[in-house]
Amino acid sequence: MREYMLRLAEEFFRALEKYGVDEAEFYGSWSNNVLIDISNGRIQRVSIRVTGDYGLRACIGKRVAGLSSSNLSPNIDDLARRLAKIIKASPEDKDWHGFSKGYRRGVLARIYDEKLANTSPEDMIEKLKHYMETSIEAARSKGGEDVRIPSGMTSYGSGGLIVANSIGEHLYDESTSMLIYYEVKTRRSGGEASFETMYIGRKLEEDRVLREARRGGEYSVLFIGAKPVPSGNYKLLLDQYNAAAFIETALIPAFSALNVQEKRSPLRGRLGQRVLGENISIIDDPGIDWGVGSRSFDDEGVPTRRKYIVNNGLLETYLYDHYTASREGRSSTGNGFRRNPGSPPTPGPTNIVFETDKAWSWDELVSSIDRGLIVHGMIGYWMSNPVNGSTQATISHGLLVEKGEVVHPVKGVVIGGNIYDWLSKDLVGIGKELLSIGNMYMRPLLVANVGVAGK
Amino acid sequence: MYDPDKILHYAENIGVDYIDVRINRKIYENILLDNGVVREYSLNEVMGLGVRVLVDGYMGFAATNKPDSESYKEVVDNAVKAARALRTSGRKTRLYPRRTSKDRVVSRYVKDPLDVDSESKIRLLREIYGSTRSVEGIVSSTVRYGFELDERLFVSSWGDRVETTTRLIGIGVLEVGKSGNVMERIWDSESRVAGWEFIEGMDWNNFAKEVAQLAVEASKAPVVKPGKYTAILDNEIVGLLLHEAFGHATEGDEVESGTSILKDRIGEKVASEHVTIVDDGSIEGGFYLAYDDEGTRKVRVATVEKGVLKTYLHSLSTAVELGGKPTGNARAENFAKPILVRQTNTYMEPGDWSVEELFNDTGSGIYIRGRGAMGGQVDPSVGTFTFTAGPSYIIENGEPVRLVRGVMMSGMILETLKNVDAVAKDLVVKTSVFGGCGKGGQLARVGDGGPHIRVRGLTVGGGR
Repeated sequence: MREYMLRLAEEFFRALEKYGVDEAEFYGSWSNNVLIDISNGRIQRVSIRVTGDYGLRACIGKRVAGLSSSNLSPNIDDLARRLAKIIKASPEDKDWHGFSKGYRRGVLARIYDEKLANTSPEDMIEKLKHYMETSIEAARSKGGEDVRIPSGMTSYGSGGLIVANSIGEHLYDESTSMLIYYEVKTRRSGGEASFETMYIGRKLEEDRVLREARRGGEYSVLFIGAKPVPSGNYKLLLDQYNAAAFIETALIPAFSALNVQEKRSPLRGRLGQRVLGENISIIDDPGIDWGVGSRSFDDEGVPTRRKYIVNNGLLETYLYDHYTASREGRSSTGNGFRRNPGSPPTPGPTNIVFETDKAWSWDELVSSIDRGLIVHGMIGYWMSNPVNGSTQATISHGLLVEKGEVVHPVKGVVIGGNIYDWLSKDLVGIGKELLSIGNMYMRPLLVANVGVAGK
Repeated sequence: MYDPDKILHYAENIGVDYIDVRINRKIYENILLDNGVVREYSLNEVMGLGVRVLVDGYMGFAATNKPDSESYKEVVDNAVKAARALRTSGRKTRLYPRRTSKDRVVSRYVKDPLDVDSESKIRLLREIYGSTRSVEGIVSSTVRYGFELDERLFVSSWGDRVETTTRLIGIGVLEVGKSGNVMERIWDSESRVAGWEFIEGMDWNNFAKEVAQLAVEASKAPVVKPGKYTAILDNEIVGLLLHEAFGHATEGDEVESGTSILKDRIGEKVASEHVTIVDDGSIEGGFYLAYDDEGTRKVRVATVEKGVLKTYLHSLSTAVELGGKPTGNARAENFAKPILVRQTNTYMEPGDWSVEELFNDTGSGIYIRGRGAMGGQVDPSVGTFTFTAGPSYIIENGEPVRLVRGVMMSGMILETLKNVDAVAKDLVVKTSVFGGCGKGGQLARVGDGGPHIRVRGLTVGGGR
């Protein structure tokens, strides 16, 4: 597919030149993917997909536009003509400085696992059965009477991407990906609860998957009998999964230089200032082996590099793509990523690592809570607001803690606050264990003064 | 590009029990005007081939968009390989033997948006942007145009041949207002299954201005006080509530797997007697779905009638497994995605209260509004739902008097619908070209709505 995409890019560039285009950029991606669906404890369906698509962006002077397609035998001249027409209809963007040039790789990390790429659906089904049995055994070991896996899915495979420009540069990379997700549902003494087992990675890390499988089983028992707590102010202990969810939705978009420049970030004008607690550092690290966000170049061919976004609480940099960097007369940070192949790149993170120089064990954090909630599961967190840092979610899997002891499981209460308060004046403690949750490398967080709407 | 008859012939020759073929082409035109600058003008085309087979009762699915003349053989072979992978540990799939479908359906439109020149579209967006600049306190304004052309061909070894073409169009605005150090954003959009005539028939400047004014007012408003409220929900929020809090639990695949809280509850009272819930593929204002992706005609279904659960939403396989009839709700985002059971347009049937009567009778509480709402989510396994509303009003003495922001609602699915004690007459259903429903990694265009309703004892909280 690499050669095919390169040929396609070259043909497009030639056709676009004919229609008076000054510069163009091509982005192609493809994947070989296997999807396995689980229903009612059994493997229900296997899907095998071989797909590819591409995007083309081009400019005439300061006018720019793009298109994308999954038609792999396109009428190249027709598409080039349509794109040129759209470009000519677009008004000039005074901040447009052309496409990125000088393609090269930055930090390197391992992201392609030959073994995973060559795993047959039959072998993966056997592994999946083993993980599900592990969850069921874990639930039974905690007193679960009727344990089932109602639904879930596994998706794995390999893929590649290529970026090329009309001055003859191109870069290419291949990677593998793995997602396992299923729900464990358990009944005990007339009560019922469930918990999701989830793993995302670039290869099948057996130990980690089994850890998640056991957690899914044990937690499906732990939350039986969950109920709301009275409304009020509580301390909140977020495990790594839930801390990552809030950071990703309420904080990370505020680092985008585009959101800063377009006045949609509360961090506008705050470079060099303290924006988080002094014991917090946030690093964008594209070089982690098997990291979901690891990349050696971004979607504009710019080399990636490790960087502190926040260093000991001080805001060191925003994340830039080529366009936003050009507007400020500086270089891209290698963070230009696309929503789809035809979209313009916008600044986004690679892997985010949450660092601290002062951390506590999980037990220390729990024992320090006089009255609070531990959050192991929530819904609706993605509706938090990066424009003002507002955080909100409904707890689906929580635990009430009084005087350092777990009292009962909790569900159905709304928690609300603000990420900047949680990571500065309301921050009580940070946990020691760093865990990868997708592209987030996160620690537990204990915060105070969290508004809870309950019974 | 792909010849469906050739594919059927090839599959039958290699001995599959059943095959269906989906050939899909979608075009999405997207224009994003960000603070007056065209940040994105893109035309995205998706096309390819999806094939589903039954081999010895096991179902396999494969998809490709590889263009070479032999790729159809590879995709059928992959589907057979996928089905055979299930032989040791998988479960068999049975399909409801419905009557053959042969039809060609094109959604109503007058002027094809792809025939309208790009300059006119950009000019309109710039005009809309201009109308928001006069609103004091607006710091950022984004205007978006979206159009989707979706062409689907379904052919099966049962003799089905169904072609559908749907056009969905709309405009949305994202306004950020600032007051002191507080910023608040409001996104709202209007979409219709129609052509360019829908764009020409709307007063977009006024629409955008209203959204901008609300963003500024919201940035000045206090955060809602957490607690339990008597709530009046507007049309949009009722739609969200029904889709998230109830509709997902009626989807046959959720019921079959055991995830749904409504499993084994047909005939039971699951809501108050004021509540009748409908899934309808052709309601005015909603998304238009004449046939699903298994070639089944979409029928209007009342899942709940006067509080009693009547049926689930079905695909051909869930109809067999759960003893129902196909309802035309088997849908896939595109050729590369497998079939899931999805809602179409979910709404509540209107009652007999006027909206004014509803407020007068309520006295005090909260009026929860949909404009600026961000969506919702449900955890069907524990029965908890949540969604974020737009800026809303505290009700005092039967009047919405004070704006509050940061409103997040939460509840238990069945409890909430049992607490509906008044339903108004004013039915409104909406769809969107900018989003839809997410499930299993797939996006489906849907619609939802209802009349104003009153719910007792709703949990309301939110961020600050």
